[in-house]
Amino acid sequence: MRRLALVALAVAPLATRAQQLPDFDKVQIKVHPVAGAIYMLEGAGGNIAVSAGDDGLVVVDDQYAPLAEKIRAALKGISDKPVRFVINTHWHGDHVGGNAAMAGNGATLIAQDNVRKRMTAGGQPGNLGTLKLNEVRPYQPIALPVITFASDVTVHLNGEDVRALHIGPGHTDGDSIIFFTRSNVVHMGDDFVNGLPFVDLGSGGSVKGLIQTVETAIPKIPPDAKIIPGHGPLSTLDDLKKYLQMVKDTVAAVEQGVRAGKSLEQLQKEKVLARWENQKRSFMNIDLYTESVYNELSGKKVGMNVPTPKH
Amino acid sequence: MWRSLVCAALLAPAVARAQMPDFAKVQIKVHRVAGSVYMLEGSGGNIGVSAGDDGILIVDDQFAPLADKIRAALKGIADKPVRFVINTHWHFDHMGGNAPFASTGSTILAHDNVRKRMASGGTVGNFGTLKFDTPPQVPASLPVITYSADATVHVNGEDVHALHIGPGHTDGDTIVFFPKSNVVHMGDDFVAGFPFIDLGSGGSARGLMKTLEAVLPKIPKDARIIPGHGPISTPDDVRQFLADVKESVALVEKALAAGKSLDEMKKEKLLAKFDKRANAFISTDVYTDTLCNELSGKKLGVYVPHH
Repeated sequence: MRRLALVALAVAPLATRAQQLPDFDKVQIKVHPVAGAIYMLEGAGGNIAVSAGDDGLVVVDDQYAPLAEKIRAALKGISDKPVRFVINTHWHGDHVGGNAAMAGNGATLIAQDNVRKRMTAGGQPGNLGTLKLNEVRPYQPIALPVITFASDVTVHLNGEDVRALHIGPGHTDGDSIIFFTRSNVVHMGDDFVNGLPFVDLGSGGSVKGLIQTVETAIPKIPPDAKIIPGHGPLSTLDDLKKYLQMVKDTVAAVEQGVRAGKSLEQLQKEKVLARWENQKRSFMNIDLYTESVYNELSGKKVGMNVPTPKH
Repeated sequence: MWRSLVCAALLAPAVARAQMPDFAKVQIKVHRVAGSVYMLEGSGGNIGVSAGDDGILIVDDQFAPLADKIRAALKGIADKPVRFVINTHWHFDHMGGNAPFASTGSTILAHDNVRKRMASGGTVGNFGTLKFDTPPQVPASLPVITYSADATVHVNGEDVHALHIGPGHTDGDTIVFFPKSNVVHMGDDFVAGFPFIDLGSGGSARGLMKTLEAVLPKIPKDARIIPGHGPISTPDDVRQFLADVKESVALVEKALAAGKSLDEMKKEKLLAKFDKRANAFISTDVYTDTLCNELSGKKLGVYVPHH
């Protein structure tokens, strides 16, 4: 979730409501070969990863519904084979928008349990404060993941073990990180972006959880792996480590203020995160980020976790 | 793994080998279990079926030569494609039909270790009197979706939950819940008879006890239970099965602590009170042999580690 909220936030710093969607007519899908049989598609919304081969295609995320035809055309340029599986890294509209079109063409949709629950129920992504993205209405049944998991699944296709791993809450409470083990590529979803993360407290996200998640993921990633971020250019393990350090440092700075009994307004006025001004991206500036971290750390506004059902 | 071995086990008590049933004579019986869930009985493990507008999901698929008969039986339930197959474990009387079903578009799901063991092949058995070599399976028969803990398939308004708890019958067992229809397919973690603990595939009687203890609280009192082998059962039947496993394990543990050998235990008929669970595949002696091998710690199952 990145570009979509751009205009609204520039105009309405207090409470973001109407998001402006990109002009889909103008969007072009760029295909980047990543490594081995893995490609990255860049359009509008989250980066798409593709594993191509004789068995068919495995696609990670599918951006927006109006881009479905363009995405299909781009995939056809890679391989004539059908899309057999789509894995959603999380439930946001810029990552699952193409689900219905993909399912309609025979793909089986896969995601963590909470992705299906939140898509079924709808909800309010945001930071439980001034950042409120468009309220999401319940999705139509065909757009819902058909195979879900609590912890992990592996799709074995094209000689590749495509492993979707849910570590814990981060960007949301239903995040998956995708490992293409043979091609040595990792798709991080929005647990890794090129700048300040958006922690969706309204969807059970947590910046502390995000730190734990990335710290757990890093040892599983070979040093020479190529990393696809949720948003931004193709990256390296070093980029991911620098990002983790940035998140830890910013959280520590806000935490110090919270411990000293400072209010959010004081922290924002003092610009405790001024050092990281250059990390702002899309709708996430340091004031909104400070507020998100403050809301979580002060414990006043805690993300709602969807409980996993027990038999 | 059960009925198919009846003849072999009768003829060769020292080392049983697998003898296939006469597939031409096998008939597939369809039992309605509850809600939209059915059970197919043929040869090999019981097949669980969820049928509805979204298509058909089956749990286990017996033997490849029965695939056409199974398809015909399914057609009698619903004229829909088989979209998903879940394997409860890697034994050939539960996943033998994988290749034919995959070739007609079914997506096969199972625990990670099912795929690993099917790909490598291995020796199924109790490190003693039971030994069955299983060759590597063809790529088309391997599960395409695997999991270390669980997966849920959402079809026909049913959240079909495939749950791996830990080692039991093998190290890749799945128990399948049909929560809306209130049915549970136990795989071979629950059978009518003695359990077969496949030490060669990482199975464990102690693990089976833990698995059943973890699963029983998740099963509603009025649920219907599909065993890996045997007739439709109740949660009380599972409870009794667990009680018998626990008691028999305790008896063998005690005998081992007293320094008794397997031969002595067999001669003393240590587990005679469970004789009614004996069948031609797992006799009381074979079961005693299996428990002895595990509990003495001399012969441990080879566990395939998670990656």
